[in-house]
Amino acid sequence: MPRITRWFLKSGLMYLLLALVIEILVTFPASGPVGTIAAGMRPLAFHFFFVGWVAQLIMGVSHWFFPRYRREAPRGKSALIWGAFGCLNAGLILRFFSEPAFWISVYPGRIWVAWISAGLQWMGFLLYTFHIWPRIRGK
Amino acid sequence: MPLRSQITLRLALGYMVAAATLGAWMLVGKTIPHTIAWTKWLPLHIAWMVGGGFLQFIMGTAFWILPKFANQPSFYGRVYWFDLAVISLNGGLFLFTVAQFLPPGSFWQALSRWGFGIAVFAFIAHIFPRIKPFRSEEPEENRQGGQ
Repeated sequence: MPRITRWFLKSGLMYLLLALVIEILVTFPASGPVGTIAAGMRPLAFHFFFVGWVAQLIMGVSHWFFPRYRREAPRGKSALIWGAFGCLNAGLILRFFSEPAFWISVYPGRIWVAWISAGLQWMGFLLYTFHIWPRIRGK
Repeated sequence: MPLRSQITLRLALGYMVAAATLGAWMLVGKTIPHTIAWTKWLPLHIAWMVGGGFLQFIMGTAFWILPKFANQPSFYGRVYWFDLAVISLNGGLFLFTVAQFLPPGSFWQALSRWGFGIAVFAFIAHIFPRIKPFRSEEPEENRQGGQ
């Protein structure tokens, strides 16, 4: 299994765990501080689950076993897939510090962080698509 | 990789990028109140990413990778079910996209859900018989029978 696949799968599992922790915290009474904070983080939990876990699982495994690109570079350009991994994860981490509405009372600058997060996640998907597209082919 | 998988996977990547673009735009809109009605686009964002992207990617990969049949006209089994699944899913996604610009509860939105339902049914009908041991894992007597 290539190194980047291991990184995708292991970080994916961490996001799965985080998503489940948030969903468990949501079960706390909504009037209390834990329940209030967790409720504000639910959209984040969905993205941890679908982007952090499902998308990273797809990216990591497809990079591992899709048809070879070329003899000299069997899995294509590694810069693209590492770039996708970096952008996606940086975007998700920044999303944690920007999306939940309660951050606005902590620091108004979260708007810029959210914009960077949006751009990084978008770039992550784009880089992955550029990477895997030439490997979708017959024998 | 068979042509059907190639087409399905490329469609899936297209949907993923489209959904990520829409999602990035929505996240930006979320930070600026009263600018972008981001909640309006949430169903489309989810449908494109989960249905068009993830589900279609899994369908394309499963068609390619799951055990095949040595004794059928097509190695891949009843491919018409797979074709129906891909056409229904993409048709449903197209109608669902169009319905976002129409009043809620429109006929096209209901029809799009039928498309999703038929796609899931047809994919299961195709893939169910292919969930079986690989030829090399089967007992010798079965392998000689060509199954």
